[in-house]
Amino acid sequence: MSENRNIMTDQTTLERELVSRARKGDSKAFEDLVRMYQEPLYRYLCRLSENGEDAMELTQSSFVKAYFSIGRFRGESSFKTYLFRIASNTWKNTIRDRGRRRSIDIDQVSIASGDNPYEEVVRDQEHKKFWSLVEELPARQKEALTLRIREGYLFEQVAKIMGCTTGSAKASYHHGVEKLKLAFEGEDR
Amino acid sequence: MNVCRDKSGELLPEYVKGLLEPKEMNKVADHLAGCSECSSQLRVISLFEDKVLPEPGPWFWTTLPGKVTAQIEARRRGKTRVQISVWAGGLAAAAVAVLMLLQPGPPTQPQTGALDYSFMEIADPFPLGVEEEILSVSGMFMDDLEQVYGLDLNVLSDETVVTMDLILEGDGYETMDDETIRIFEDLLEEMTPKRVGKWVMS
Repeated sequence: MSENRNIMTDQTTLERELVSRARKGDSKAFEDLVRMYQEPLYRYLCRLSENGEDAMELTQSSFVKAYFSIGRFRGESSFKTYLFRIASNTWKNTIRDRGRRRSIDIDQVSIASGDNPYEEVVRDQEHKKFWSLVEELPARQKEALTLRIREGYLFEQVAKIMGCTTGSAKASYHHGVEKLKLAFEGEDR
Repeated sequence: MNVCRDKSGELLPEYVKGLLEPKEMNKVADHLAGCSECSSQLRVISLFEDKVLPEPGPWFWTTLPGKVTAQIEARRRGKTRVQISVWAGGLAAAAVAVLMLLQPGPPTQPQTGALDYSFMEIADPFPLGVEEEILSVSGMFMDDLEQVYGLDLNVLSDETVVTMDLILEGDGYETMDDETIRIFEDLLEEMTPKRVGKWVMS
């Protein structure tokens, strides 16, 4: 446990140093920050956009935006939280620019295997219905679900990234969950 | 909307991932046995959690840092050109832009007296897409703006507040891409120096 804490502290110290150098225009330091966070940022954007190619583009443009606004990052949250907030806004802008959301290729949606406390076998039809409903969720609800469930952020952190109050983040999350429950409607339990 | 008030319900994402201590895992499991709301929520979380993401491959991870740097450099070059054109333009709008670029930054003391929100009328015809772009590049500045200027931002939309951010901070160009700069300059042309001056200096 203390070993993990030391690793976390080392990463925080390294992150601060890199951010400080990047703020002074050190592009190599910023490249190191990109390497540090490119995978979690891509995965987050992939979950939001439901599309790998979009996520790759969004990851790159989010980093570029983060670079140009890094002067405003004051270290009150982690750099990752700051990055995720920029990425969220970038994703939302893309949705609005397109005027519609990209469709999920539902047939390509698959379930991971592995240990999971919830062991019920999910039927194919239910699975497709579920992801259709995810596709229809308002951006804020999908964002709240992704941050809380997939990224494992607590609601206080979810709210920081979404730029809203904790209560609002919770409400978006619960409204999203309620809508997704419709996937199981009408089945025998 | 039925929401279970038991604290176990809030721990379901961690429960699904198996991140809780054994004692907490058992407590949540016991709660789930008797709570249909949380059981169906668990089902949603499990499905949402289990989606496999496409893996972009090592090429993407290796080349991304360099691509980001290249895009930053390209954007910097583009910004320089825009600033030169602003300085050389000689138009009233350009003068406004220069005035803003020369602003030393936010004042150290909160502004006092009645603020002239009539300036905000200018933001109304602002194209929606641009507002959102500015909102995205402005990061977390809205909270800072409220503290530094002592403004009551609750009366304004987020987009308007961020437009204020760009005007007041004076370094909006640092956070805008070329397309946004172009549209922002079009916006400046619609402003008179007097109105901007009144806002900035009041």
